[in-house]
Order: sequence, then structure tokens, then C-alpha cells
Amino acid sequence: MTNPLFITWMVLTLATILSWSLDVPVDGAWVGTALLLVAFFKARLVLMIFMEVRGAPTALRWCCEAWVITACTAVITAYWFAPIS
Amino acid sequence: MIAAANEPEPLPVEAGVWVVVLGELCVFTLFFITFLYYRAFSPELFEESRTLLSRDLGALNTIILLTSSWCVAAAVKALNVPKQRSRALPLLLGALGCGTAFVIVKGFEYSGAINAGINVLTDEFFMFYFMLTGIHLLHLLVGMGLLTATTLHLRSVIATNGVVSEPLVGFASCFWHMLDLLWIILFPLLYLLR
Repeated sequence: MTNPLFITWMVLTLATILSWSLDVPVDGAWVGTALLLVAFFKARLVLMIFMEVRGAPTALRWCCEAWVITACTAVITAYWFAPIS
Repeated sequence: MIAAANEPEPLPVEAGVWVVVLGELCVFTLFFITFLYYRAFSPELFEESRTLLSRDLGALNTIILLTSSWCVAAAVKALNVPKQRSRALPLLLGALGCGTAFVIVKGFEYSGAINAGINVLTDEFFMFYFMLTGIHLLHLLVGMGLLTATTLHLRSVIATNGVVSEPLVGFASCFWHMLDLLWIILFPLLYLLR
């Protein structure tokens, strides 16, 4: 099974199972950050492999990479630094 | 070879589709940030409510959508190889089956919550939960409509040895992958984050 689509699906599924099993009662913020990083890694895989952005023109590739980096940074920042009442 | 290397690479699908997809991704990103912003004001309430959700069903739905996305990607790949065109049809039907399974699991989850007396007005967490998953579900139903239209189109194309409509296949596949991508972020956000 060397089909890149199948390998991508396997990686995505294993990452999902890993996230699901990560229910440890330790410092939640670090675990949460790891979960969000895994989620954006998975999102990037879907964009690059399933949506074929990896072989797309540079402009589209950069737009998608920009979304992944911006959204990941913004979501993790909101998770850590949103004001506490 | 040099001339071919200098030719601009074609877009995987039409430019307009990417405007829609990237626009949707940006709008949902704002929803995610808004959710986290409100979460910071009442972390105990959000945590207490989160534990009422089934992380097993959330993970199951994630794997269902990942599988459907693989089916769609494999169908698009099959369409690009003339001898494998007929493989696209069962793959798209598989994706539609996964979409139906997702809706059933979500319905089961919603009915369980409603039977337990939980609704959109219960608290802020559940307001976000029903809003975010509801908007995603509406998009998913639109995606299933697009996949159904693509399946019917391919059935007639394969029967008559006709020409595949690339805009339809491109839009349907890209839209479906976007739904998978959004759920990939929603899953940890709603079900897993402590």
C-alpha cells in the first residue's frame, strides 16, 4: 500500500486516534496546544494532498499556507491569551 | 522539457472555487476565535459542559469524514486515468455513505443532548456547540447535494462515454474536503480542549 492518498488517510486517522486518546489530567493548556497543533497539521495534510494544493501554482499554495499559519497562530493565541474575567 | 517546465501549473480547480473555500475557512476561523474568547470568561462552565459531550462520537465522526475525503480524492484521481474512470462511481457512493453516517451520528448526538434537557439556550458552551456544529451540518448537506449531482453526472458520462464536467467535479470535491478540514479543527475545539 504505497498509494499517497491511502498513506495520508492512515496518518490522519492515526493522528485522530492519538488526539482522542490524549485525555490526561495534567496541565491542560499544554495538552490543548498539542491537540490544536495536531489538528492544524491534519488540516494542512488535507489541503496539500487531498485538495492537491501541493502541486498547485505558487500563489494558491502560499494562500493556503498563509491560512494554516495565521489560523493556527490566532487560535492558539486565543486559547492561551484571551482575557480572563 | 524546458518549455513544459516553464508553462504555468494549472489550478487543481477553478479560481472561483478557491475564493469560496478560503473565504469559508477565514469565516470559520473567526468563529473558532470567538468561541475561545468566550471560553476564557467562563472556563469552568465550558469545561463542565464539554464533559457532557461524547468524545467517542466526535472521534467517530472525524474518522467518518476523513474516510469520505479519501474516497473523494481517490475518485478524482481515478477520473484522471481513462481506464480507471469507472472506479470513481463506487468511491463517490462510498463518500455519500460516509456523509449519511456522519448525519446519523450527529442526529444521535443531538437527540441524546435534547433528551437530557440540553439545548441551545442551556449555556454559552452549548450555544456555540449547536451553532458551530449546526452551520457545519448545513454545509455538509449542501456538500452531499453536490456529491449526489456529481455521482449522477458521472453515471451518465460513464454510460455514454461522454466528457466529465471538471467544474462540477472540482467544486464538489473541493467543497467536501473543506468540510472535512473544518471538522478536523472543530473536533478538538469542542470535544477535547480542557
